[in-house]
Amino acid sequence: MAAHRPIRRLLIANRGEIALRILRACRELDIETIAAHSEADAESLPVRLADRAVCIGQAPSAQSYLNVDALVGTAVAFGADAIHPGYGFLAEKPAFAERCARENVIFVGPTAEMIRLMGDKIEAKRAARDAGVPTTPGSEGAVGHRDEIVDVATRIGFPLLLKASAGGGGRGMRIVPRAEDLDRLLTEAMAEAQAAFGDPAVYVERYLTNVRHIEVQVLGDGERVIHFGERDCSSQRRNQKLVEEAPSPVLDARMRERICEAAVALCRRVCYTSAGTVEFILDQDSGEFFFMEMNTRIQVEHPVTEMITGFDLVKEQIRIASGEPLAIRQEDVRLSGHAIECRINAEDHAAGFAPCPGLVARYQAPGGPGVRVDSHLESGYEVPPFYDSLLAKVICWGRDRDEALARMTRALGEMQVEGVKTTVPFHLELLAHARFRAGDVNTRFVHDVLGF
Amino acid sequence: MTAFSTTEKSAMSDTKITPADLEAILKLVESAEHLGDFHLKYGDLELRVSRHAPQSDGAAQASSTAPAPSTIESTAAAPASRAVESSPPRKAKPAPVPPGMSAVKAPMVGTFYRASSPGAKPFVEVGDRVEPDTVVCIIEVMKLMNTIHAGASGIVREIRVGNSQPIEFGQVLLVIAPD
Repeated sequence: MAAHRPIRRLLIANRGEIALRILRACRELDIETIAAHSEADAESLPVRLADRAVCIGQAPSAQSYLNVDALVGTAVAFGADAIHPGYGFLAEKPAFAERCARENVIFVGPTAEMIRLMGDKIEAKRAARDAGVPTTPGSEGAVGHRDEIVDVATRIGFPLLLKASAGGGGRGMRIVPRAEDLDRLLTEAMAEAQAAFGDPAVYVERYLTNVRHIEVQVLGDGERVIHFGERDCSSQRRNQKLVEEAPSPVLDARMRERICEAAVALCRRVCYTSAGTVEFILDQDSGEFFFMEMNTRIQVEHPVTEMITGFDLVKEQIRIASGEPLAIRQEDVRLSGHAIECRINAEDHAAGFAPCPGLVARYQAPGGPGVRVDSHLESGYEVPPFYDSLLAKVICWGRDRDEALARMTRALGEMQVEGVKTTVPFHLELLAHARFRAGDVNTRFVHDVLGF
Repeated sequence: MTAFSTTEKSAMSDTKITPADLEAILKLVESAEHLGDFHLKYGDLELRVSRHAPQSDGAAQASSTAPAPSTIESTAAAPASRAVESSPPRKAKPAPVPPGMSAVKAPMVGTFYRASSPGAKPFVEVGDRVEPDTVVCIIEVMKLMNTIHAGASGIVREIRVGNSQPIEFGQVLLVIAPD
């Protein structure tokens, strides 16, 4: 573990709701904040609330939130001890963490080597296997030779999934339903992988159709690893999470313990240091679960876990970054009630979830018992066209799932965003669906049943 | 919204600093935990506040020294240069660039230097004539020195940033009155 080094001033290398979330954690820890922002965000709420704000470049992310020199340079010039990357942008770029280390600025996250290890799908899967964590049946690594892929595919059976080794965002990914489709889809996947990532290698794994996305929140200080239970993020669209809840409506105590212990085993094996999330797929047909990947950042949906455990994960992440040992023991983590999060995006769900930038003439936040809103939204806010469309996260807690769902329906009914289209109507439709209410969904539900 | 070395000529020139004002300023400086040095020149008042341990001149620019008891000296000084140099006051809007003037804006975030090395003669002074390719300052970003050119010909009217101050993207560094 690194020597304890107090953080007095922290640079927030992000924008929107997560910038505000980090700022709030810093305020409570008595850490001064610097909001590094683009020209487009100069008037935004987190920038106005920060102790200092530094414009680092023009609106496009490449010139601002993805500009390593500008961000680390700002931290050095303005005397920040630490940089919090939030999620997205540079949060999982090993080069950024490396650069921070070289300039003696604390990166609030794991080491560059850890980010690199977990960012490599094949290496991560190998680490999981080494830790005794089940992984999806598939190729040992990325395969660049067609013949070899065909061999592996025949061994695993159909349907199967082809994924670019350096992939992300669904590029270079193909589902192969039958043996006779393999040739054509393999050509497409390899060409796409080559074009997008400069490497045609793909890996092959069994394609499971009736699965849930279950992920486990962990904190590690390099010596100890503890988990905070799971989140169920099965309501997705094109691999983008829409709704997350905790605990999962389908896990019993025994299954929860097995999955959470698997996550801890992996993190323990690699001496994970920071907040992280280990993602699994749960096959509802066989009851088996498999390691999918590990995210080495604080995630969008972390508040769901905070609501049922009472811990502030961002504050804990910052404490770990400053070299403090974990002050929480596993037995201190108790799950209470049920929480659900809806991601409210500036998107028109009726038009294929097309982004809707523009002026929010009026905004009224929901409130009342059990409702938490993480948002940078305010009346008069101009949703810029340069970044992702997340406007707000509405998180509702209830003593049980029914109460949480009732509160969410009530809260979304109160929420008013005038001027841009939002995904509120989509969420209300999802919340009202009998199968969703019964917890009977899989990762294809939104597409197959709701038709989105 | 963070502004450095703002110059508000008209707003300041006909007000006097009272002892109460001075006390308020000192309180602010005292409470600013991360402030190293504070230097205020206003009319015939000059105020220097240092929270660093006394150092030799050469080391005086180095930042991040251990906090030490504040030393305060107030001296009467030569008339008015109007510059207020300090750690960034929050939310102060930068003074607008007067119409007809051209501004040299920071093309990057970093640290502003007026000279090529400590102790060297500044690249330009107020009143100097510059051509578009005249070097007016250096911006350092993580030990990389970027030379900044005037971009216009004319006379330097204002230098808005103090030496070795951190600056943000787009901040006005110098104001040039074109011919």
